[in-house]
Amino acid sequence: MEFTNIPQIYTNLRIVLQSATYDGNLRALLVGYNSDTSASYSSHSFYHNAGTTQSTNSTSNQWNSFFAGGTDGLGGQTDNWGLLVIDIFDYADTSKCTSSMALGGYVGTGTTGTQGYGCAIFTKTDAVTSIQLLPNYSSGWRVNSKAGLYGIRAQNG
Amino acid sequence: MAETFKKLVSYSTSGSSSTSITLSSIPQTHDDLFIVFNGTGTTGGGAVNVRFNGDTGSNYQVNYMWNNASSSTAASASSTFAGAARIFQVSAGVNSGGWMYLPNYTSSLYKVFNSRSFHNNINISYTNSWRNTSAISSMTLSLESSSAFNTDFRTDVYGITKA
Repeated sequence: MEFTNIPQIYTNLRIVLQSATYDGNLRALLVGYNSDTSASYSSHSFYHNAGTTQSTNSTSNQWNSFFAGGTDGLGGQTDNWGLLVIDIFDYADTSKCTSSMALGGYVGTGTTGTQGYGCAIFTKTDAVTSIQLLPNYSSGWRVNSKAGLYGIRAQNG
Repeated sequence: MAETFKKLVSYSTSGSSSTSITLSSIPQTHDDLFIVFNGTGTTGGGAVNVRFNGDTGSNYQVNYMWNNASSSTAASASSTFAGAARIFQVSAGVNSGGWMYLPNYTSSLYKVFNSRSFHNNINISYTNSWRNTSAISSMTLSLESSSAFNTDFRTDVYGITKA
C-alpha cells in the first residue's frame, strides 16, 4: 500500500491500518517514506505476544518497523484482523526529522494475539510526500486489508 | 484526506450517577469512530466494558497490556470478559481518562478497536475485537463492579470521514 502526493498543508498525519497477511502469524509492519530505502530508520516497540511481554528495536534500518500488530490475522470476513493506528508528526517540517508512534495489535482466538505500542524516527529532514506500507511477509496483504490516511491540522499551526 | 473530527454526541452524567451509558442511533455515515472518556467512579474501582448493538454473547476478544510503577501484565483472552470487551477502568476519587478508536464500524468484517487510558497511576492499552459482521449502530459502556459512573463522568463520540 502506498500514499502518494500527500498534501503539505497539515500538521500531523494519522494512518489507520486494518489488515491481515496470508499466514496468520505475527508480522511486523514496515513503514517507509518517500520511497527512501537508505539506512535512515530507527524503531522501538513494546508489546506482548500471547501474554508474554517483549521489546525490540532496530536502528539504521531501511524501514520503520512496528511490531505492535497490524499485519496479523487471517483476514476473511469472519476472521481476525490486525489494527494499527500510527501518528506521524510534523511530516512537512524540513527543520526536523520525522517521528511517529503507533498503537495496535492483532486479536486472535483463545489466548492468541499481540498488542502494544512503538515509536520510530526517520532520520532525514525531508518533507514526507509519500508513505509506503508493507508487511514483513513476502506474500503481501490479504484481500480486504485497508489503510486510511488522515490529515490533522493544528488550529494555530 | 479528512482533516477534522465531527462530534456526534456528548454524554454527561450531569448531576446523577449512572451504572451504564448507551450511545444509540449512531449515524452510519462515517468511516471511523473516536470516543473520549474522562471521570471517576462512585465507589472503589471498576473495569469499564463496551458492548455493541446490545450483543451480550461471547463474541468479544480482549487483548491488553498494563503497567504501574512496579509491575506489568499482558494477556489475550476470549472467555474472561464474556459478553463484553473491557476498554478501561475508573476509580472513586481518582480521575481516569482515555480514548477508543473504532475504525470501519459499518463494514461487514469483524470489528477491531484500540483503546488507551490511564487509571490511578496505571497505564493501560487494549486491542479488542467484536466478532460480528453487523454494522455498529449503538454501544453501551457499563461497569463490571458495583461502582457507577460518577457525576463528573463524560464521554464524547466523534465521527471521522475519509475524503
